[in-house]
Amino acid sequence: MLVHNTKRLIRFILRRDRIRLLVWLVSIIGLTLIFSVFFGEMFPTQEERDIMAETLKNHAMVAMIGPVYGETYTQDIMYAHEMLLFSIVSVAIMNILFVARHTRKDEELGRLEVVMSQPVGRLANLASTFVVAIGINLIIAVLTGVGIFALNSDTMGLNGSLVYGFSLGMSGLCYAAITALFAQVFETNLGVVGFSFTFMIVSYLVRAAGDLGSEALSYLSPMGVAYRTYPYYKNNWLMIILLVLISLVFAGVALYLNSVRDHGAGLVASKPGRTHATRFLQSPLGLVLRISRTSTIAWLVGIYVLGASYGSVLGDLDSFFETNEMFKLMLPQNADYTMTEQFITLILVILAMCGLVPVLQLVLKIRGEEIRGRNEHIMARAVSRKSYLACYVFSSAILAFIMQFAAVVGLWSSGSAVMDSPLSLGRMLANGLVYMPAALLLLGIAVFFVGCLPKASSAVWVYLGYCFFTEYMGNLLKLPKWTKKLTPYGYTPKLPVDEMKPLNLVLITVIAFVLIWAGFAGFNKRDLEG
Amino acid sequence: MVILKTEDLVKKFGNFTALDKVNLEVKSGEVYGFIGPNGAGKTTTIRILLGILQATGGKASIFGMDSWKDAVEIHKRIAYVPGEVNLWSNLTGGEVIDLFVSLRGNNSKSRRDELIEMFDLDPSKKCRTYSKGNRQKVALVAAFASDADLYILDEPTSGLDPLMEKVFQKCVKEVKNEGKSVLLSSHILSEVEKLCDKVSIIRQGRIIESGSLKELRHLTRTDIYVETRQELLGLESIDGVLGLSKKDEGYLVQIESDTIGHVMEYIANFGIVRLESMPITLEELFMRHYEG
Repeated sequence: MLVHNTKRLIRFILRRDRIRLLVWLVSIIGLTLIFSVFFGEMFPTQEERDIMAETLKNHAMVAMIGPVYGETYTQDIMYAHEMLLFSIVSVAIMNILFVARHTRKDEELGRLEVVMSQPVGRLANLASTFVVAIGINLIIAVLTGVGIFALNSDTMGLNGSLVYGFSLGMSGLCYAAITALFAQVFETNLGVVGFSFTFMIVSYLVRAAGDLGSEALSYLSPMGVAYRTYPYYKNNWLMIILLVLISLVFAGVALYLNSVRDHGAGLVASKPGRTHATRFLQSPLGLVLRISRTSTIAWLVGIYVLGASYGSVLGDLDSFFETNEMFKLMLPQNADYTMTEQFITLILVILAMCGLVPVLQLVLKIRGEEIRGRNEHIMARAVSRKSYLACYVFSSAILAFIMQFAAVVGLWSSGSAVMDSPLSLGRMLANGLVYMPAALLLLGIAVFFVGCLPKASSAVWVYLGYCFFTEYMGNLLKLPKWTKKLTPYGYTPKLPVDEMKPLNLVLITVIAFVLIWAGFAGFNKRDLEG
Repeated sequence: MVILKTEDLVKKFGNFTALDKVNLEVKSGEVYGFIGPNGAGKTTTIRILLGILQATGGKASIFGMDSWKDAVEIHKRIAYVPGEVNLWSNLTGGEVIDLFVSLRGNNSKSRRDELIEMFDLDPSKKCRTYSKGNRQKVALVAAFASDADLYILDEPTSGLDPLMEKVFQKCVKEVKNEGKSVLLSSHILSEVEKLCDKVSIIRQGRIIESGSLKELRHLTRTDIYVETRQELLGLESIDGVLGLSKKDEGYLVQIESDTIGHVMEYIANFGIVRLESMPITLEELFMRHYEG
């Protein structure tokens, strides 16, 4: 029998993933519910919501979160409009990782072979993965639907909430089925996950194109279909049935392919790679750049898009901020500057810190390489410790600069399109690059840990989180002033609102270099693990 | 000429003493076997020699230079294969070999393709798809494609099949013939017996036996099988006889090596019909040290 022992495998999957799935479900459902309450409190009056709706009616925002719909922008519609697509993306990510893990990843690692050698059917593994996927997506659909209604029963109806929940869950199912299909096609987990995420991004972009232009295009994307349920307005259950049908088709094809292919094989054989290293790779620096290439490119694109999406709302910010007390509180109050200018300083600081994530990842990679026993190959050859660490430090310092550059260009390119009196790129760059000394300081802390306290290296993430929290939420939560003075961002002049303070920047840079120097000294002296 | 030398090498990890006065000496042109059970300190010793770990006490030197201070200079002239070969999952085997060879400085790429063929490795595959044996082949090809004066090999054949072990042994013999030195840490005693001129046995961070295989055997016992015309009587009471058991038509006798002449004289009185000497294998030597 093809599905013999599927029930046992379902239990096995649940046993293996009980914590993982629980964390995913609690975070997705929890955040959805928390935001449903939060939205009501953030925009209590219709007037504020109408202004918000106007802000969201430009092309950039439609591309990002979908068109504003409904006759009046009521609280429930506003919630569904602003939350649905992002929630679908997070549910899709969960489904992609879950399915890939239980199909191709298990197969690639040889774990599935052990299972298949037991008396289980050929399709039992894929079938059990599907059953669990259906289960978790139904849980998301029902619990978010019922939960939103239960928490906001006076403003958000049951039918609309259920439509919202099911568009979420059934789009999740679509992405699960697609991933299962890719798992039959590609030979490696990396390929499966890569193509599934690419599919997700493309379906997001196709929907954006459809929402901006021809409506029909949106129906080619599960996200476009899910969006067209219009929760709390049209409550179109037909679209949800369509999502289920799409999932069934993909799942059916996946099951068929699974039944006819060899274990371990894919429809697309992985193509052979280079048999020789390029000149570029034949040096320690080349190696460092090569092993961080993919994630660096992804982060560069990501930070550009993040900058551009912040930029797209710069157009009619002033009227928006005037009416919303909460957003006003997030900014330092300075009457000499417009709300937009003050908002730009906040965005630049946030972008600067987001852009540091890949920078710190890159410099901490030398520690990851050490733990995985790969530094040994380099250290046993004619490469000194100093020069190897320098490769990492040098490339991450350059990356810090490039990331901030990409973020500012992103912000400027969309901001200048929507603003009445846009800032020049040069001024915007100057405002953004003022955070470079702070970036160097965090880089210095990371190098210090790598060299002197390697086991505690991840502490630098905690510190970055602290910087982020105090800068982003400090004003809103009315945190005491000294909390900001524990980070380099607290001493960096927030251009253009603050005055330039060259001495501060010089001091931060000096401290950064002292930390980097100490890190090098420590790295030169300590035992390497492996 | 002494190529590699450790003098009273001590390494402590916190309170744990991993190495307790380890002395090794590898001379030019020697293949030196370094054997011992898991966790005895073989890899720790090698990593100190490579300057990856710093010794707590004693001295480690290669080519007369300090292992820690002159690491880079030393590494230009050595090739190393680690016991656990971890590679970058998204680089191909060929790329890693080229990288490793070029990081040593003086390239010798002519042998690369020949070695890849000998070890039957597909260099176009990503490292993530390689089995343990194939990852070891990558490290071995990179090592033997290098023109080094000393090869440090840490259990290099633990994942290889018997065919590939032969290829490996051929490579070691070749570099030996070129007058290069090899430090070979291994579990596979038949391999050490075949390849090594000298052996050190390490246990719990201490060298418990060192010398040529001949010397090591001499230090211990000799096993013989003997058949005599008359019934062999009273042998068990002769000095130097460690064990005696009946087998087929004759006896298996274990004799302490330095008393062998004296024992043989006694046996000769019974009229020897057949005599076979069975030299102790390294494995027996090894087991005796670890059990005792």
